[in-house]
Amino acid sequence: MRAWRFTRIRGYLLILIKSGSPERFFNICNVHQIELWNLCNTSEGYECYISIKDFRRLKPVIRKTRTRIIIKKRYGFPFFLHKYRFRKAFFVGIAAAFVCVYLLSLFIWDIHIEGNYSYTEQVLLDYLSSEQIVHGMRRDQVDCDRIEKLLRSKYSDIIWVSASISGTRLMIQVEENFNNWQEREESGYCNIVADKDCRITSIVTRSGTPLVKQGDVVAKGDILVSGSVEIKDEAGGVLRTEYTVADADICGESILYYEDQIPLEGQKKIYTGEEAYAWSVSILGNRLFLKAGITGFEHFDILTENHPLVIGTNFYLPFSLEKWYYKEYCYEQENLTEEEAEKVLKKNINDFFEKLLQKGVQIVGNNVKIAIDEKMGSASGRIVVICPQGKAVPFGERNDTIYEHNGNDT
Amino acid sequence: MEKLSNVVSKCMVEALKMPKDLVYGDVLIQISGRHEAYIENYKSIIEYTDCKIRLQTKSGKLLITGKRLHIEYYTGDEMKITGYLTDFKYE
Repeated sequence: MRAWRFTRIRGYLLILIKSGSPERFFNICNVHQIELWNLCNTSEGYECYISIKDFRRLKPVIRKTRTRIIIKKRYGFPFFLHKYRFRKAFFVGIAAAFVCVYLLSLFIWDIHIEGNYSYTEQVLLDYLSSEQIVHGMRRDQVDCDRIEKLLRSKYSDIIWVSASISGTRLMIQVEENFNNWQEREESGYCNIVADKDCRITSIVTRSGTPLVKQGDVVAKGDILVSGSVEIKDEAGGVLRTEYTVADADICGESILYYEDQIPLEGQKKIYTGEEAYAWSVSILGNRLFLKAGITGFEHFDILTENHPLVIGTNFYLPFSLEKWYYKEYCYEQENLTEEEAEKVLKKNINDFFEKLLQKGVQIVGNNVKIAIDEKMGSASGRIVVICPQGKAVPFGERNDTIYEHNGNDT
Repeated sequence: MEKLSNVVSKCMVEALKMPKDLVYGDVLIQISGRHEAYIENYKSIIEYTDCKIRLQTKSGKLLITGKRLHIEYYTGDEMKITGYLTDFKYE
């Protein structure tokens, strides 16, 4: 019974036995330990399966019992090889494909960056490229610790970096600092200075000596909280001065100047609805167009869809299929009416306020006026806001010059 | 009267609780429903057709009748018969 488990690999036959004494044939096979299975009685004779190895040992049994054996079917890998003996190149190609996929898996074909907001993916990739971390580099040459240190040291807003390799993908996750404070140097003490002219509305000092109080008007560059702390004795005399990193939450009321202009006569981009497509294949960074799609458009937008070849989720290969969309557009003269121009200007103002609110800025006054003449619509005015103030400046960069408030600094 | 050796062997088998098929070489038949039968301890096939199989065992002949009888596998140790089994008869 063991034979049937491996017969597919070793090969077996379906034979038809025609004999005057088939039972004698079966018994002699049994004595010679020739295994037969699926034996059945048919109208033509007896059919059964036998392995190739045992079939070759049948000759003396056949002679002895005067049996006639007819091979009806052949099964198994040896017959498969014989059938395709003139197709060796096909199997060599399959083996070569597996070898190629293995060799390609030794390189990085995709660098994926997540968590970046202030810096675009292209900016980070360009920097990594300058440090010889590029698509197509060998996996064993990737030093994740080095990548993390490079990004943290280059970009001060990035406070956490994690680099790892998954398949042929280099995954880089970054986390940026959304606070208004600049990154302080750990080795030096610093003051907090005003980064714009404002009137202090609230100050909560955690460390350092506050030099201003609520209601004070300060100019850009004035020290708000000093990093030097005077230790005084009971009489009020200064015993010594200690230095620390000044830390405080300071809010101030400042003025932002808003200005916006739009022309009443302009050109508007209108899509004609005509589109064309093109296909290209990218192999190891080289692009080959399969079908060109430009059909004489004067003005057009190009959109590209990139479909990289991926096995699973992280096994990227340096082959991708790209689809190019060409959308034709033309310019049309567009004249805005006064109402339309006013509507656009108001929308722009609201968008600006939205962005300020998202940054945590409180708007307490709005003096923006809209004026529309024959050719231009404009909106300008002052916006009074309350927002976090101050930036950390190390002692070495301290500047004692007093800036005059002229109403134009924002 | 039975031979003395047969009597002695019978008593020893009973006393030592030894398996009888091992000692006497009796044929072993394991039947599953009416469709499968496993036969062990046979000597040879005497006859095999679509509706009967006659086997030679150490203690006699065994006749199996039925319909569409099919030998699934056949080795020196055991064989498996499938089909529609109707009779098992010792001859």
